[in-house]
Amino acid sequence: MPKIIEIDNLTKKFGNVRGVENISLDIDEGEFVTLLGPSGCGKSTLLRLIGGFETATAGCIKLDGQDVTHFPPSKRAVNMVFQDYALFPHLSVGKNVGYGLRVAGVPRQQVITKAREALKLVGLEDRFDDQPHTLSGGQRQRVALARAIVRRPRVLLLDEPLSALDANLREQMQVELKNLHTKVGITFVLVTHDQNEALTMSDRIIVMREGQIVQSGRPMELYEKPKNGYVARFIGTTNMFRSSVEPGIGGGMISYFGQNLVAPPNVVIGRKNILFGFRPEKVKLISASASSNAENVLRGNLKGMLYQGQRARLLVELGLGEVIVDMPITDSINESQLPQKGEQVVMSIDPDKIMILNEETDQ
Amino acid sequence: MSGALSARFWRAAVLSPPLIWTFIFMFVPYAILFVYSFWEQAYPTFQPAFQFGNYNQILNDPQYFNVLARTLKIALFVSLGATLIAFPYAYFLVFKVKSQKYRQILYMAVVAPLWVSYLLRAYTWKTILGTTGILNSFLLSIGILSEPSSVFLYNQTAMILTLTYVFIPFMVMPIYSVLEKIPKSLKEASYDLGFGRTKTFFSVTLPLSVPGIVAGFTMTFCLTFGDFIAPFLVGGPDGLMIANVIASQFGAALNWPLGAALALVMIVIVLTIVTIADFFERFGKGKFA
Repeated sequence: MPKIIEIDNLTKKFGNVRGVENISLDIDEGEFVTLLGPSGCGKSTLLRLIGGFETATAGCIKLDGQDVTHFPPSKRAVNMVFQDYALFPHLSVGKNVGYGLRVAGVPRQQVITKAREALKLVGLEDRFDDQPHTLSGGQRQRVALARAIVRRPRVLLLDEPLSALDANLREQMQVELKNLHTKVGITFVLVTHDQNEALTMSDRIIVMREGQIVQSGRPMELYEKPKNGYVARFIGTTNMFRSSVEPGIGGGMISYFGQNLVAPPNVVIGRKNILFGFRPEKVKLISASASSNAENVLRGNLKGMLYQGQRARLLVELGLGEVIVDMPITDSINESQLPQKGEQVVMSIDPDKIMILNEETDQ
Repeated sequence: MSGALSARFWRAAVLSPPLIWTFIFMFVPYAILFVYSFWEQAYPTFQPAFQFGNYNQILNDPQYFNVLARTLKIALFVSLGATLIAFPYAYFLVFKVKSQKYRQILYMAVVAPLWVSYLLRAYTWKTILGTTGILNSFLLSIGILSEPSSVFLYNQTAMILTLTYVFIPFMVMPIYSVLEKIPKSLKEASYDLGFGRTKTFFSVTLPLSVPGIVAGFTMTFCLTFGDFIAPFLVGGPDGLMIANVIASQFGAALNWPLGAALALVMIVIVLTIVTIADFFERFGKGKFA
């Protein structure tokens, strides 16, 4: 895959405030990349640097092999979908979409045709003559998308495009964005603080923190093998704990809130104070009778339960602490089979599913 | 008292004072003026009648037409001048001054003079432009003039200068407020779509500031149109405006019917301008997402 964006040691400072620091990142042509992180992590700054809305303090950005670090936005073959959509209120939907074609010297008739095509792509061709303020939030979002892709940019930048939509619409738009990406074949770079959005849509997620990249990888890679506690906490829910690794019967032995567990393979016996974590859905609930021949058994009392439809999230008291366990609800489970508050719960966790995490401060 | 009745009582109680005020001090005087405008002069006083002589006189006597035309011209120059100064100033404040504090100070610098009496502010220009004024002293000191000149004061230019100065806050305020409301992302979107700074200004910023410009233009125009102090202070013999003529009809000339007719003509002109402006002001209004 040819590289479409090459970012080398990019730094942006706002006075003394750090925006992004020494970022190096390559993006392949046609990729759907998501920049993920909490607010203030520099993800939007990085996107705006690619778009040309901020000027880099140091480093360089290449687009299609050409150094565009000091190009204004109008000279870059990238287009942006703004968080507030930024539709021109004094222009009709059609004129909004055709806006970017006008400057390129495209004949008027062709501007109209292309704008109509782009609107058709987002299912709004019948709103061509309407004013933006008559549209719903989701429709404005689509117009903004149409306006950005009509110029056939090399890269489409999306700055938290779904954050202003309500939950149902957001899920629907996630699917549509993904479809659009497949249909138009343009490279997408999306910024979000929503891990679900990132997991659902991206080919690759880049987790950022304090202006730097913490980890970059496929959604599944990030979920299954988070590099450190920060990523584990930010993507999905993780039961985290610290333990030393003692020698045990079939390998290492670690302690989780006073209960012994077989350590995951590949961990060095004798190391102290290591950060471990496991996902709530990797824990299996077992019956008390089956516990004698299961390995890695945890016992606790149910403290609370959050029913979430396709699963129940259990909060289990282990004496010295609490563990979060997700119990899938299949059609073979009915209400009476769900554990009751205060009841003893017996669980088992496969040692392979226990993740060894780096310290959060490690990059 | 039932709930609905009580709500109606309170609504009436709140609305009555302004309505009564408007009726007594706006509607009634206009009605009286309207009636007077058909009366006739019977020197040294005037008597009830129903005739169109006053309106005829306004239409046919070039003296009145000339004053009206001059007043319109001056109002137009003042409004244009104020726009040309106020727009760049407001633009500079909103888009170029980064510090909130300095922006406030610079904005207040324009608005604060409104707290000073109009008369004083107009009078200032008399002292600037007069023979012993600042302008003359300055030109004398740098040697451009050898003796004080009186060309600066008592003419239409002096009036336009003074009125522009006096009414410019009414132009800066609405333009500032529309420019301030233009989201930053709209300009960025325009740059993003390939437009440079100049094209973006004419395609986004200027069209979106039309309501503010029109509002400011209307206010400045109407205020100037009805002014009669500036001609008094800095205007020359050719500087009389329509309001001065009306005032003299009610004063020295003792021709209230003609004065009333002139006042009504003036009201019609102002209302026409306000109506046209209102039409333009709707352009782009309420459309911010």
